[in-house]
Amino acid sequence: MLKYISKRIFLVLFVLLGVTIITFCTMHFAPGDPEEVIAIARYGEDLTQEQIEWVKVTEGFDAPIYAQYLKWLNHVLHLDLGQSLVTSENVLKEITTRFPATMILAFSSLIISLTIAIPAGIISAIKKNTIIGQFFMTGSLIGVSIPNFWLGLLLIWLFALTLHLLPSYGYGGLSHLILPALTLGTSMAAITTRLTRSSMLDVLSQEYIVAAKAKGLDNRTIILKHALKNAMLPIITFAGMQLGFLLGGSVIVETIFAWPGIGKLLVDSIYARDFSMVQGCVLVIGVTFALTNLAVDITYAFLDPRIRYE
Amino acid sequence: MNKFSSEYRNKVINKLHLPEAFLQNRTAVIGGMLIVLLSFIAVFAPYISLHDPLEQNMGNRLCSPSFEYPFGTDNLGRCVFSRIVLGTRYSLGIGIMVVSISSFIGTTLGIISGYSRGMIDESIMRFVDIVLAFPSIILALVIAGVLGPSLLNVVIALALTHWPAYTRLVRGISFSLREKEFVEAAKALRASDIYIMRRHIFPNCIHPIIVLATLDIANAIIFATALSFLGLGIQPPTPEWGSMLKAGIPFMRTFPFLTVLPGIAIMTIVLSFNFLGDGLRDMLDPKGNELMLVNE
Repeated sequence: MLKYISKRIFLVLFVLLGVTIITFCTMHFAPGDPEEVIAIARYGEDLTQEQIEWVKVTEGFDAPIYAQYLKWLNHVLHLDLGQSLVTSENVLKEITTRFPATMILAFSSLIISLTIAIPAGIISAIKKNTIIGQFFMTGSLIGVSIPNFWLGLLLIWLFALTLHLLPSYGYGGLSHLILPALTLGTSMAAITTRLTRSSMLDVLSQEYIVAAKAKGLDNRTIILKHALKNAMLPIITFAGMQLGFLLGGSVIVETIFAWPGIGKLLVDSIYARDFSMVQGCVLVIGVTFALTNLAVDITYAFLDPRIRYE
Repeated sequence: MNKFSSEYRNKVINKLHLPEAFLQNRTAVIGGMLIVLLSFIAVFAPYISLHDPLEQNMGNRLCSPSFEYPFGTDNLGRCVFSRIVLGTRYSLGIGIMVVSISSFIGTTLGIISGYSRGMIDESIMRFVDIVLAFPSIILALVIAGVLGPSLLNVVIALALTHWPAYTRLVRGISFSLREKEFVEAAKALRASDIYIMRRHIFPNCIHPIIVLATLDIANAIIFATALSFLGLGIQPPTPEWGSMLKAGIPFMRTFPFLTVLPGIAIMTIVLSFNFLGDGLRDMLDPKGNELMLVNE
């Protein structure tokens, strides 16, 4: 197992290196030279050639591109993500103040999603060829097909504008959390339901389930004690992907509900063409995602004896 | 046991012929019919719409649905029905373009990767890992945001983030096919590698690719509307559903249909592709991966 884990860690380090390269490149995708982009963000549209030259020299854009990357990477490794081009705030500081809001939203959505999806997935697996099973499957397809920004707006319309039960946007108590978490959680539940179902179906077709049936155990014991435990493994692996889904979805949901998380920060920075903030957000999201996947892989290795004793 | 049952199933399907098997799958048929209908609307949009979708009529702002304006008018007095009809073209067009480009890139790399193995395989797959290290909507968002909002940039951003799924899928198939006797036979006949990849490996990848591509169109359409909704995709006054939704928000309290209708349109088109893809998977690729439906 040590071999497995060290291989995973090596791969993640490689992926992280790639993440920094892609993040660094985003700046250079922009039409026009990066020094011009920064100069516009700093001094406005009316630029003199001297201002552009000044930025080019002070920001080090006259060096060859690999040297710029290595210099930037060196800063990143020392946890220095630079300053915002617009507000001159420290990028890392801004991101760390925003991060908890995104995590709160992500975890509440995860809980909502699992509360809906695990029972729904199990029921639709057990009642596979009945109307109930069909109902859950069609329902989850519809759930996957609803754009979450639209779902968010519908929830605002219903609960905030029409029923006046909940605030439509902002950050604060539990009442502010309900609508965004519901939006993100239900759209994720649709996918998790399908995953739970297929994983449950896989397990139910195994021979030890047949053996348990032959032993005369009742269905309830078979499903809860024998099947569910094994069916949960792929669902745990899926947690990594779910985090990706949550981080991606949070960009849209946070923007709709003015939830001050990292997703909204990213979108706002794109609007303001604040590229150092964009780079910082992309980097933090990429690193979080990669490290979560590593953690999931290692947990999985501990949980699954087939890997543990390898 | 599973292996036998899926083999048996494939035999049954071959016996039934695909069209008949398709017709037995109710959701796939519904999805397919909706797609035909939507394509018809997209092609004949100018003949179906009642007004010029860009024509502003300040005397008729925010009208409720009437005989002349079936879905009412928006805040600039434009006919919402005509705008939604024309919007079909954008969503369908973007979905098809993105999937054509990304499936072409992804399949090519996947076949090469699985067939050649070794260093080439390793480097292609590690590159895939890196692209997949970001939630794809975030990468698409940043690319579209940096390039600037336009239709072409939406297509570029989505194609650049959608191809790895095809590479992973195709690489697995290509990897296992390399050992098969018919590939050995072709090699013994001194067929070139490119010939083998094109004539022997690729045809065996088509079914799973079709399934993935159908589900991926749904995915690409949602992403494209999300980008436009955030103001980073297609810009007003173009009647794109995502940007129409965004434009309707200020009037949500009094005229909710301005946000409800484009949303229903998006959901319908996405749902029909998901229905069709799901049905096709049951039919063509019964052991297929549930994860394909994920849109991060």
